[in-house]
Amino acid sequence: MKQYDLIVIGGGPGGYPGAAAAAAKGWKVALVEARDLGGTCLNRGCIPTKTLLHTTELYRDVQGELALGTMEGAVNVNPAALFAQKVAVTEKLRAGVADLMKRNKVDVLCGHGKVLAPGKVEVTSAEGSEVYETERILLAAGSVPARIPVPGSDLPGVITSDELLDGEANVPARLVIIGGGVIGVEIASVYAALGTEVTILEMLPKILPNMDKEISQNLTQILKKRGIAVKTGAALKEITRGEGGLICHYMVKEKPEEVAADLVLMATGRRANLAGLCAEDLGLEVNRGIVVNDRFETNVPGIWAIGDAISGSIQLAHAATAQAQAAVAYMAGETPKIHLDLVPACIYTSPEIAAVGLTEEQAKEAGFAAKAKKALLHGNAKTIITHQERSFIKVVYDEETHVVLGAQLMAARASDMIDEYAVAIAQKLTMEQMASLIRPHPTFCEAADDAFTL
Amino acid sequence: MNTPRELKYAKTHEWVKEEDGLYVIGITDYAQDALGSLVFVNLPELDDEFEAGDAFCDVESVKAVSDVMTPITGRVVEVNEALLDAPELLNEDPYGAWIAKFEGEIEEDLLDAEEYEEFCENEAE
Repeated sequence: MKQYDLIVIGGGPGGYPGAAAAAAKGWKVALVEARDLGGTCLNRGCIPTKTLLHTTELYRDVQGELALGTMEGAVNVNPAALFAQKVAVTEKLRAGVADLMKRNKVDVLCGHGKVLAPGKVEVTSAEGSEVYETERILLAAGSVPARIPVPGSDLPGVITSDELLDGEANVPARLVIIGGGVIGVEIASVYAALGTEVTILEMLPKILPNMDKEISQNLTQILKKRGIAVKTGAALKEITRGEGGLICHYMVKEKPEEVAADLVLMATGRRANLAGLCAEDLGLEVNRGIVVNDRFETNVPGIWAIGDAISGSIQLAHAATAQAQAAVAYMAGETPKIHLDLVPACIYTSPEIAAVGLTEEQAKEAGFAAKAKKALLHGNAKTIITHQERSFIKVVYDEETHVVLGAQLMAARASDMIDEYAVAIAQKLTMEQMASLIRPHPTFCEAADDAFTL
Repeated sequence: MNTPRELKYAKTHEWVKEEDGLYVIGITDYAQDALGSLVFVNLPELDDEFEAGDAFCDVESVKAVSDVMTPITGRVVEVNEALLDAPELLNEDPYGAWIAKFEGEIEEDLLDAEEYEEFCENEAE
């Protein structure tokens, strides 16, 4: 038995920064991970998709140049090499995480972590089980893809992002994606560029249902232009195997329809990864995730939880990181200095989508006299130079005080531009204050001049 | 400029047609010509409620965004979603490419075709 100040269960973007933050306080820390360091984000999520998107978007750009005549010759994507590159990228980042743990003297325990009781964690690997004692426990077990329980959802060829992103190159002729959320639209973009015939089936009336309405509309238009079939209000009923491959049967406005595929991706959300996480008699309160208070404490003293594994999670890597750092600060009796309620969300389509704070609708519901200022990037030089699709920036502000409340961007490099808007919201800056800055020209970010000018 | 006789017109350049107890709204030929090539339409959603004089939609050309107003106080019961994929229909066929159908009451003095043509001529001067 060993004594730790903190054992973190889960080595993803929540767990490892939490372990590092605790170690920086001089605590003796162990990090338990059953699979690979870096968790879903690094191994089966954000990083693999962005690697695939980087090359496929570049390929799309080159095709655009070929059409213009500014480039000549034949260019093809090599899927096997692309997936090998994805492995190389994840290995490099994983080594970085391992190094960070080593530098912080965090013990990385490989195996499945299970809380037996407050202060007692069992780690089970192929070599056997060992029980470790600890002052505190941080649950950062993340989430796993959820399959919707329709007949045929377990047929061979029906996969989730785990199998798609953790495996070898798999480029089907026809791909049906169930779910038009973030994962669905990003994977659709990758495969459409690789020449796959892609269909998205979304049950709700629009894709990216949690985003500003105009973003959904704009993206739908762009995806369709790229040859992706977008079916909304489409409820999947069953998947069967027929002569033409996998057949997805779905209903649109009470009418049955079907689409054939060689591969079906279930991108229907993720659920908290709680399997075997705790002994049953621990009594941990769970409601679609671990229930925590605003200090990330569970109902069991000495156990904290953060990230995708908690109830009502927003399922973003950077949110988990911030929550883990905050949880460690609370453990140490400090008040964290992080704006936990202000989490930027990014989608790496082309153009990129990024949002922070409130949409106009949310701001009105929250009781603000909210207005939105929209700036179009049709005339933005960089947008024209790089042949971008329709791009815009929308800033939501309080009509009386002009304080910035939220921003939604759909523009090239939106994910890199969103922090300026987050700063404005966090610091309660006004439209006029934000408009008073000199921004460099020519850039994408100079479109903010227009967006903040009333 | 094409101005179908059977339609009613708002001074903000929308046309209105009564059809099966509903009001169908679109933008006029004059409006589409003034806006130039349209690249995006921000449509209302079903069941959205508006008052006469409200902007219920906006249309976007490479030059600018323009609000489309409703002369009707009421509720959107149908939206022409074909415009999302093909906003250029508003340029090609302004009187065929309706934007939305409303249930409610007209609460604005609308012009007939002749009056609207005259109004546009004066506006052009």
